[in-house]
Amino acid sequence: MVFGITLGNDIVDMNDARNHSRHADTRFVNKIFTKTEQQQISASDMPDYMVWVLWAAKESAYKIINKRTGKRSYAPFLLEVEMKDVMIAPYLQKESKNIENKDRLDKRRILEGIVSAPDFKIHVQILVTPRFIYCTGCSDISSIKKIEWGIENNSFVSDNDQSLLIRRSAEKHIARSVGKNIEDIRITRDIVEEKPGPPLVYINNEKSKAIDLTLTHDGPYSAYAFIKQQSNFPK
Amino acid sequence: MGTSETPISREAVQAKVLEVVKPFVKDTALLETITDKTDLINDLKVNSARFIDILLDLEDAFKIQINDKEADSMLTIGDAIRIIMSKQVNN
Repeated sequence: MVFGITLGNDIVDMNDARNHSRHADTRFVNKIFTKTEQQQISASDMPDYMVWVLWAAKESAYKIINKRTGKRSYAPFLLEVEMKDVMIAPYLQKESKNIENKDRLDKRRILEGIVSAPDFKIHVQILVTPRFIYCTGCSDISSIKKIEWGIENNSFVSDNDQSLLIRRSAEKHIARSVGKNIEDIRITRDIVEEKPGPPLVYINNEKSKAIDLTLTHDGPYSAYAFIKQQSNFPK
Repeated sequence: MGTSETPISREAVQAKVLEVVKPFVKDTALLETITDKTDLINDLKVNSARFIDILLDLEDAFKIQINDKEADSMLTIGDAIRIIMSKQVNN
Protein backbone atom coordinates (compact mmCIF):
# COMPACT_ATOMS: atom_id res chain seq x y z
CA MET A 1 0.00 0.00 0.00
CA VAL A 2 1.11 3.53 -0.75
CA PHE A 3 0.63 6.57 1.47
CA GLY A 4 1.56 10.23 1.11
CA ILE A 5 0.81 12.08 -2.11
CA THR A 6 -0.46 9.49 -4.57
CA LEU A 7 -0.74 9.74 -8.34
CA GLY A 8 -2.71 7.93 -11.02
CA ASN A 9 -2.75 8.54 -14.76
CA ASP A 10 -4.50 7.35 -17.90
CA ILE A 11 -4.05 7.88 -21.61
CA VAL A 12 -6.71 7.18 -24.26
CA ASP A 13 -5.84 6.64 -27.91
CA MET A 14 -8.43 8.59 -29.91
CA ASN A 15 -7.23 7.00 -33.17
CA ASP A 16 -8.76 3.71 -32.03
CA ALA A 17 -12.07 3.34 -33.86
CA ARG A 18 -13.49 1.48 -30.86
CA ASN A 19 -13.28 4.74 -28.92
CA HIS A 20 -15.32 6.70 -31.46
CA SER A 21 -18.95 7.77 -30.98
CA ARG A 22 -19.25 6.03 -27.62
CA HIS A 23 -21.33 8.94 -26.29
CA ALA A 24 -24.13 7.55 -28.47
CA ASP A 25 -23.65 4.00 -27.12
CA THR A 26 -26.30 4.06 -24.41
CA ARG A 27 -25.36 0.72 -22.84
CA PHE A 28 -21.69 1.72 -22.58
CA VAL A 29 -22.57 5.11 -21.12
CA ASN A 30 -25.10 3.69 -18.63
CA LYS A 31 -22.62 1.01 -17.55
CA ILE A 32 -19.98 3.51 -16.49
CA PHE A 33 -21.26 7.01 -15.98
CA THR A 34 -23.49 8.48 -13.28
CA LYS A 35 -26.42 10.71 -14.23
CA THR A 36 -24.35 13.81 -13.42
CA GLU A 37 -21.55 12.58 -15.67
CA GLN A 38 -24.02 11.79 -18.42
CA GLN A 39 -25.31 15.37 -18.19
CA GLN A 40 -21.74 16.64 -18.67
CA ILE A 41 -21.40 14.48 -21.79
CA SER A 42 -24.68 15.79 -23.21
CA ALA A 43 -23.74 19.40 -22.44
CA SER A 44 -20.29 19.16 -24.03
CA ASP A 45 -19.43 20.63 -27.42
CA MET A 46 -17.43 17.45 -28.13
CA PRO A 47 -19.37 14.64 -26.43
CA ASP A 48 -17.25 12.01 -28.21
CA TYR A 49 -14.19 13.36 -26.39
CA MET A 50 -16.01 14.16 -23.14
CA VAL A 51 -16.73 10.44 -22.67
CA TRP A 52 -12.99 9.74 -22.60
CA VAL A 53 -12.14 12.82 -20.54
CA LEU A 54 -14.44 11.47 -17.81
CA TRP A 55 -13.17 7.93 -18.35
CA ALA A 56 -9.50 8.98 -18.01
CA ALA A 57 -10.35 10.90 -14.83
CA LYS A 58 -12.05 7.82 -13.34
CA GLU A 59 -9.21 5.53 -14.34
CA SER A 60 -6.64 7.86 -12.78
CA ALA A 61 -8.68 7.93 -9.58
CA TYR A 62 -8.96 4.11 -9.60
CA LYS A 63 -5.20 3.81 -9.73
CA ILE A 64 -4.88 6.05 -6.68
CA ILE A 65 -7.51 4.07 -4.78
CA ASN A 66 -5.93 0.77 -5.80
CA LYS A 67 -2.52 1.95 -4.59
CA ARG A 68 -4.03 2.96 -1.28
CA THR A 69 -6.10 -0.16 -0.73
CA GLY A 70 -3.88 -2.68 -2.51
CA LYS A 71 -6.99 -4.02 -4.29
CA ARG A 72 -8.15 -3.86 -7.89
CA SER A 73 -11.80 -3.01 -8.11
CA TYR A 74 -14.58 -2.26 -10.55
CA ALA A 75 -17.10 0.15 -9.10
CA PRO A 76 -17.78 2.90 -11.63
CA PHE A 77 -20.60 4.47 -9.64
CA LEU A 78 -18.47 4.77 -6.51
CA LEU A 79 -16.61 7.61 -8.20
CA GLU A 80 -18.10 10.73 -9.72
CA VAL A 81 -16.20 13.13 -11.93
CA GLU A 82 -17.00 16.81 -12.12
CA MET A 83 -15.09 18.79 -14.72
CA LYS A 84 -14.73 22.55 -14.25
CA ASP A 85 -15.69 23.04 -17.89
CA VAL A 86 -17.62 20.77 -20.24
CA MET A 87 -16.45 22.61 -23.36
CA ILE A 88 -13.55 20.75 -24.96
CA ALA A 89 -12.74 22.72 -28.13
CA PRO A 90 -11.20 25.71 -26.26
CA TYR A 91 -8.77 23.30 -24.56
CA LEU A 92 -7.76 21.28 -27.62
CA GLN A 93 -3.96 21.36 -28.05
CA LYS A 94 -1.68 20.30 -30.87
CA GLU A 95 0.13 17.00 -30.51
CA SER A 96 3.88 16.82 -30.93
CA LYS A 97 5.68 13.46 -31.10
CA ASN A 98 6.93 13.42 -27.53
CA ILE A 99 5.85 15.77 -24.81
CA GLU A 100 7.75 16.13 -21.59
CA ASN A 101 6.79 18.09 -18.58
CA LYS A 102 4.24 20.39 -20.14
CA ASP A 103 7.12 22.23 -21.85
CA ARG A 104 5.34 22.95 -25.07
CA LEU A 105 1.86 23.15 -23.70
CA ASP A 106 -0.39 26.09 -23.10
CA LYS A 107 -1.02 25.72 -19.37
CA ARG A 108 -4.22 27.73 -19.62
CA ARG A 109 -5.60 24.99 -21.83
CA ILE A 110 -5.40 22.09 -19.39
CA LEU A 111 -8.82 20.85 -18.31
CA GLU A 112 -9.29 20.46 -14.56
CA GLY A 113 -11.74 18.53 -12.49
CA ILE A 114 -12.44 16.64 -9.28
CA VAL A 115 -13.24 12.97 -8.79
CA SER A 116 -15.27 12.35 -5.64
CA ALA A 117 -14.68 9.01 -3.94
CA PRO A 118 -16.58 8.02 -0.76
CA ASP A 119 -13.80 9.13 1.59
CA PHE A 120 -11.75 11.66 -0.34
CA LYS A 121 -11.38 13.73 -3.47
CA ILE A 122 -8.89 13.35 -6.30
CA HIS A 123 -7.85 16.30 -8.43
CA VAL A 124 -7.32 15.75 -12.13
CA GLN A 125 -5.71 17.70 -14.93
CA ILE A 126 -6.36 16.62 -18.50
CA LEU A 127 -4.58 17.34 -21.75
CA VAL A 128 -6.78 16.91 -24.83
CA THR A 129 -5.32 16.63 -28.32
CA PRO A 130 -7.10 15.40 -31.45
CA ARG A 131 -5.28 12.07 -31.17
CA PHE A 132 -5.10 11.34 -27.44
CA ILE A 133 -6.46 12.36 -24.05
CA TYR A 134 -4.08 12.30 -21.10
CA CYS A 135 -5.05 12.64 -17.46
CA THR A 136 -2.99 12.85 -14.30
CA GLY A 137 -4.73 12.64 -10.95
CA CYS A 138 -3.36 13.58 -7.56
CA SER A 139 -4.61 13.02 -4.03
CA ASP A 140 -3.46 16.51 -2.97
CA ILE A 141 -4.55 19.61 -4.87
CA SER A 142 -1.68 21.74 -3.61
CA SER A 143 0.75 19.29 -5.21
CA ILE A 144 -0.88 18.97 -8.62
CA LYS A 145 1.39 21.55 -10.24
CA LYS A 146 4.47 19.73 -8.91
CA ILE A 147 3.73 16.58 -10.89
CA GLU A 148 6.35 15.85 -13.55
CA TRP A 149 5.27 13.83 -16.56
CA GLY A 150 5.98 12.79 -20.10
CA ILE A 151 4.12 11.29 -23.03
CA GLU A 152 5.56 9.30 -25.92
CA ASN A 153 4.22 8.09 -29.24
CA ASN A 154 6.01 4.85 -30.10
CA SER A 155 4.22 3.41 -33.10
CA PHE A 156 5.36 0.12 -34.61
CA VAL A 157 6.80 -1.33 -31.40
CA SER A 158 5.40 -4.16 -29.29
CA ASP A 159 3.61 -3.51 -25.99
CA ASN A 160 6.64 -4.91 -24.14
CA ASP A 161 9.03 -2.59 -25.97
CA GLN A 162 6.69 0.35 -25.35
CA SER A 163 6.75 -0.48 -21.68
CA LEU A 164 10.56 -0.60 -21.67
CA LEU A 165 10.83 2.66 -23.58
CA ILE A 166 8.49 4.60 -21.30
CA ARG A 167 10.17 3.22 -18.18
CA ARG A 168 13.54 4.25 -19.60
CA SER A 169 12.24 7.77 -20.27
CA ALA A 170 10.78 7.97 -16.77
CA GLU A 171 14.08 6.77 -15.28
CA LYS A 172 15.95 9.50 -17.20
CA HIS A 173 13.48 12.17 -16.11
CA ILE A 174 13.56 11.04 -12.46
CA ALA A 175 17.37 10.90 -12.49
CA ARG A 176 17.50 14.47 -13.77
CA SER A 177 14.90 15.63 -11.29
CA VAL A 178 16.63 14.16 -8.22
CA GLY A 179 20.21 14.82 -9.33
CA LYS A 180 21.26 11.21 -9.85
CA ASN A 181 22.75 9.25 -12.72
CA ILE A 182 20.30 7.23 -14.78
CA GLU A 183 22.15 4.04 -13.75
CA ASP A 184 21.09 4.76 -10.15
CA ILE A 185 17.39 4.70 -11.00
CA ARG A 186 15.37 1.58 -11.75
CA ILE A 187 11.63 1.19 -12.23
CA THR A 188 10.07 -2.17 -11.53
CA ARG A 189 6.93 -3.76 -10.14
CA ASP A 190 6.62 -6.03 -7.11
CA ILE A 191 4.58 -9.18 -7.55
CA VAL A 192 1.67 -9.09 -5.11
CA GLU A 193 -0.40 -12.30 -4.85
CA GLU A 194 1.06 -13.50 -8.18
CA LYS A 195 0.05 -10.26 -9.94
CA PRO A 196 2.20 -7.23 -10.77
CA GLY A 197 1.67 -4.37 -8.34
CA PRO A 198 2.02 -0.63 -9.10
CA PRO A 199 5.35 0.58 -10.55
CA LEU A 200 8.01 1.35 -7.96
CA VAL A 201 11.12 3.48 -8.14
CA TYR A 202 14.40 2.09 -6.83
CA ILE A 203 17.27 4.49 -6.18
CA ASN A 204 20.66 2.83 -5.76
CA ASN A 205 18.87 -0.53 -5.46
CA GLU A 206 16.67 0.65 -2.57
CA LYS A 207 12.91 0.99 -2.89
CA SER A 208 12.22 4.70 -2.70
CA LYS A 209 9.29 6.02 -0.67
CA ALA A 210 10.30 9.47 -1.83
CA ILE A 211 8.78 9.20 -5.29
CA ASP A 212 5.32 8.10 -6.34
CA LEU A 213 5.17 6.99 -9.97
CA THR A 214 2.35 6.00 -12.28
CA LEU A 215 2.44 4.60 -15.84
CA THR A 216 -0.15 4.18 -18.58
CA HIS A 217 -0.39 3.14 -22.20
CA ASP A 218 -2.97 2.81 -24.95
CA GLY A 219 -2.30 2.13 -28.62
CA PRO A 220 0.97 3.82 -29.61
CA TYR A 221 0.86 6.21 -26.66
CA SER A 222 2.48 5.71 -23.30
CA ALA A 223 3.01 8.11 -20.44
CA TYR A 224 4.46 8.44 -16.96
CA ALA A 225 3.91 10.85 -14.10
CA PHE A 226 5.80 11.16 -10.84
CA ILE A 227 5.97 13.37 -7.80
CA LYS A 228 8.61 13.82 -5.12
CA GLN A 229 7.25 13.38 -1.60
CA GLN A 230 8.96 16.33 0.00
CA SER A 231 8.75 14.97 3.55
CA ASN A 232 10.47 11.73 2.54
CA PHE A 233 12.99 13.11 0.14
CA PRO A 234 16.60 13.00 1.37
CA LYS A 235 18.35 16.38 1.46
CA MET B 1 -31.61 -9.57 -13.75
CA GLY B 2 -31.63 -11.37 -17.08
CA THR B 3 -30.97 -15.09 -17.49
CA SER B 4 -30.18 -17.18 -20.52
CA GLU B 5 -32.99 -19.22 -22.07
CA THR B 6 -31.35 -22.67 -22.32
CA PRO B 7 -28.67 -23.91 -19.90
CA ILE B 8 -25.48 -24.90 -21.70
CA SER B 9 -22.48 -26.95 -20.62
CA ARG B 10 -19.40 -25.48 -18.99
CA GLU B 11 -17.35 -26.38 -22.06
CA ALA B 12 -19.78 -24.56 -24.31
CA VAL B 13 -19.73 -21.50 -22.00
CA GLN B 14 -15.93 -21.56 -21.97
CA ALA B 15 -15.75 -21.76 -25.77
CA LYS B 16 -18.17 -18.86 -26.14
CA VAL B 17 -16.32 -16.76 -23.53
CA LEU B 18 -13.07 -17.26 -25.45
CA GLU B 19 -14.82 -16.34 -28.69
CA VAL B 20 -15.98 -13.07 -27.09
CA VAL B 21 -12.60 -12.27 -25.55
CA LYS B 22 -10.46 -13.14 -28.60
CA PRO B 23 -10.98 -9.93 -30.65
CA PHE B 24 -9.80 -7.84 -27.68
CA VAL B 25 -6.45 -9.59 -27.27
CA LYS B 26 -3.77 -7.93 -29.35
CA ASP B 27 -1.09 -10.60 -28.87
CA THR B 28 -2.83 -13.73 -30.17
CA ALA B 29 -0.01 -15.93 -28.81
CA LEU B 30 -1.43 -15.21 -25.34
CA LEU B 31 -4.64 -17.00 -26.31
CA GLU B 32 -2.81 -20.29 -26.71
CA THR B 33 -2.00 -20.56 -23.01
CA ILE B 34 -5.37 -19.55 -21.59
CA THR B 35 -6.59 -21.35 -18.48
CA ASP B 36 -9.29 -20.56 -15.92
CA LYS B 37 -6.67 -18.61 -13.98
CA THR B 38 -5.77 -16.33 -16.89
CA ASP B 39 -6.29 -12.74 -15.79
CA LEU B 40 -8.07 -10.61 -18.40
CA ILE B 41 -6.16 -7.43 -17.65
CA ASN B 42 -2.78 -8.61 -16.36
CA ASP B 43 -2.27 -11.71 -18.53
CA LEU B 44 -4.23 -10.95 -21.71
CA LYS B 45 -3.31 -7.24 -21.60
CA VAL B 46 -6.90 -6.17 -22.13
CA ASN B 47 -7.22 -2.52 -21.18
CA SER B 48 -9.99 -1.24 -18.94
CA ALA B 49 -12.09 0.25 -21.74
CA ARG B 50 -12.00 -3.02 -23.65
CA PHE B 51 -12.90 -4.84 -20.42
CA ILE B 52 -16.20 -2.92 -20.48
CA ASP B 53 -16.67 -3.96 -24.12
CA ILE B 54 -16.09 -7.59 -23.11
CA LEU B 55 -18.74 -7.24 -20.37
CA LEU B 56 -21.23 -5.87 -22.90
CA ASP B 57 -20.41 -8.57 -25.45
CA LEU B 58 -20.77 -11.33 -22.84
CA GLU B 59 -24.16 -9.90 -21.91
CA ASP B 60 -25.18 -10.04 -25.57
CA ALA B 61 -23.70 -13.48 -26.23
CA PHE B 62 -25.39 -15.12 -23.22
CA LYS B 63 -28.44 -12.82 -23.06
CA ILE B 64 -27.69 -11.96 -19.43
CA GLN B 65 -26.93 -8.86 -17.37
CA ILE B 66 -23.72 -8.60 -15.39
CA ASN B 67 -24.07 -6.25 -12.44
CA ASP B 68 -21.29 -4.13 -10.89
CA LYS B 69 -20.64 -6.58 -8.06
CA GLU B 70 -20.24 -9.45 -10.53
CA ALA B 71 -18.06 -7.33 -12.81
CA ASP B 72 -15.91 -6.43 -9.79
CA SER B 73 -15.28 -10.14 -9.17
CA MET B 74 -14.63 -10.95 -12.85
CA LEU B 75 -10.84 -10.89 -12.93
CA THR B 76 -10.11 -14.15 -14.77
CA ILE B 77 -11.55 -16.33 -17.53
CA GLY B 78 -12.65 -18.76 -14.80
CA ASP B 79 -14.49 -15.95 -12.99
CA ALA B 80 -16.36 -15.07 -16.19
CA ILE B 81 -17.38 -18.70 -16.70
CA ARG B 82 -18.46 -18.99 -13.04
CA ILE B 83 -20.62 -15.86 -13.23
CA ILE B 84 -22.27 -16.96 -16.48
CA MET B 85 -22.81 -20.51 -15.20
CA SER B 86 -24.44 -19.17 -12.01
CA LYS B 87 -27.01 -17.43 -14.16
CA GLN B 88 -27.64 -20.70 -15.98
CA VAL B 89 -28.28 -22.44 -12.64
CA ASN B 90 -30.60 -19.64 -11.58
CA ASN B 91 -32.65 -20.04 -14.73
